[in-house]
Amino acid sequence: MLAGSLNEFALPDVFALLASTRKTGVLNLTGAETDGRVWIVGGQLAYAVADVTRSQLAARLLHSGEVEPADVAALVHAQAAGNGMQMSAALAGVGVQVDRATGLLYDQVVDAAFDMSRWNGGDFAFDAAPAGDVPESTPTFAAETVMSAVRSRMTEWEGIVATLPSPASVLRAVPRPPTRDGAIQILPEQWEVLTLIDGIRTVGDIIQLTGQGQFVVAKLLSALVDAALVELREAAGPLTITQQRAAHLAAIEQEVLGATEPTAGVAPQPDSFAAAQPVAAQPAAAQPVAAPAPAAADVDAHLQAAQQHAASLAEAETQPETHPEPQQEDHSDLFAPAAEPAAEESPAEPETSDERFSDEDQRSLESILNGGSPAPAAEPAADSTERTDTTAATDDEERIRELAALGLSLSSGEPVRDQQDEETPTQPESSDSADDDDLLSRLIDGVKGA
Amino acid sequence: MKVVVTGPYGVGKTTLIRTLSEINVLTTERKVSGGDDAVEGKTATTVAMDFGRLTIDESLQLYLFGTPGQKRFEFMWEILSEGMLGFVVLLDDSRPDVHEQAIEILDNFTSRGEVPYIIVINKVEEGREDASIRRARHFLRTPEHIRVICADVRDREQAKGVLLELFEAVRDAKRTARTRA
Repeated sequence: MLAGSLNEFALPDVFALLASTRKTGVLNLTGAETDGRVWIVGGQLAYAVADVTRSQLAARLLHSGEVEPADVAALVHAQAAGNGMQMSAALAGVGVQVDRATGLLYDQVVDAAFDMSRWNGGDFAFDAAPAGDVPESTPTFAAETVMSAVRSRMTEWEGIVATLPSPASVLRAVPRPPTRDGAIQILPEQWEVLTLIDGIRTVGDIIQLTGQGQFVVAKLLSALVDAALVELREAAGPLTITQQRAAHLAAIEQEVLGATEPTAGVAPQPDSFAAAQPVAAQPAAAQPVAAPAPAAADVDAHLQAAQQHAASLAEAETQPETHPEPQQEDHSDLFAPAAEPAAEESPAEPETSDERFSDEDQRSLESILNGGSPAPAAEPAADSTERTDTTAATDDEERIRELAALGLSLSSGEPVRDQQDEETPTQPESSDSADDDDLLSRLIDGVKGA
Repeated sequence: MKVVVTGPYGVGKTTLIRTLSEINVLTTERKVSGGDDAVEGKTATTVAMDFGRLTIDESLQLYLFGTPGQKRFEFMWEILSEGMLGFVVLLDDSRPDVHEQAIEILDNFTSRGEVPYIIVINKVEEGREDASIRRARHFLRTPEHIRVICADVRDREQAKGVLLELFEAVRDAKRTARTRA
């Protein structure tokens, strides 16, 4: 086994070593607060998580509506027990197209590598695995490409932290935008996080809910703050319906991955991004990295919390008439029915027409809680697709209405930027390009000065 | 960037990388089990690789890989040589008996393509540098354009000189390739 300290042997060095020796296996990393894991195929990175008890990718797809809540269990199971190399197959299984899946996996690997690169020390251990266990179609990414993206992010990160000093920061949309003589144009991905800014959630909550990683979300939020469309608040507030969705995922994560936090958005946040760990994570020091196994008492507590939460979801669905009426300009799809009014924005009714929490989901959750495998989707694929399209269209209309209420409009001139376009994986630099004169001059000067 | 240090068993490859590396060299060693390969005073041998790093500037790092010297680990040579900028063949002047092994290793590496390399002779007695170089060239049937130097790999400045010599060899190869084109 290859093992050591990240203080002595930093993550890029470990990746370089594994790349040079074309290893296949699982790299387990133990940080101060969380344990991370990187799946390596032929020396290249196939999948990575900065917190083995969380499925950030599932959160991202759940938030974007690309998968139904019933499907996230399959993704979480794919991550569990060292099955990260099966993630591309799991994505295909829930209907994600190959190109999209590759982009998602790359984003996830970079996000995790970025988060783990900011750890203050830790340990690593590499367990080799037979290459034959890896599906041939598994996309992989050159370590140098990933770490190059991480380095670029590190450069930007200082500026972001200057604007958003802590994941515990709470944001709200400003009542009066700075531009009064024209429309405000924002990018669709900015809108995606803007809809989660409610004066209640912390930055860490938003990062977790979107599942897009600390850097991407913090950068979007920072830009909104810099544009004076959003400002920092101080206090956090009650649970929202979106947090309930996250809790649905969290219940699965607790069961399958051994996560220890019961509900998104209510856990204490790190004081500062400077010493940040993945948001809302709890130490899993007592658990073996390769096979998280919470203590029996913890399991009972998690199961009880998950069952109680599942019951509350069912109750919310069956008794919509008991919830308060929506207010005229609030984000009606963001607040939980039982939530107490916030200081400035009142929680409103839940998504009473939200088909994402169906009886089927309830059965799926119960199946998992009872130790069974996740139930397959009951509806045919075509129906499921149609339902997703309808829901997406409804969501878009709601967003447009909310946008108008806020005096904002989605930018039509700006094409939707796919993050994959910005950080397209490339092949490793060939040795042919390495021996040009400039590079040699740098090498010679560098060695002379070493 | 990647540079490979190769050579027969027990000539000082791990020492060279340790002298150059700014991190603790990751070495996969095992106790010497004796037999024909045993070297006096050597208690452990590299069985997979040595790995060190030298930072050139903010965006460029040089990785140093040392191959296992024993032939039974030959499979690692191919893995480690992939994508290398160039390689160093290290010899021990006090053990000319292992020069034959160096020929085998050199043939193995040069068969993978025209990758620049130099030959470095370690543990040379003072004043015998020229003779040692001539002997090494003779044993290894080294072409005239290949650089052969002597160095005490325990000395950091001389170890850096090894790298500089290799980079010059790479530059030579580049110029030659341009001329041919």
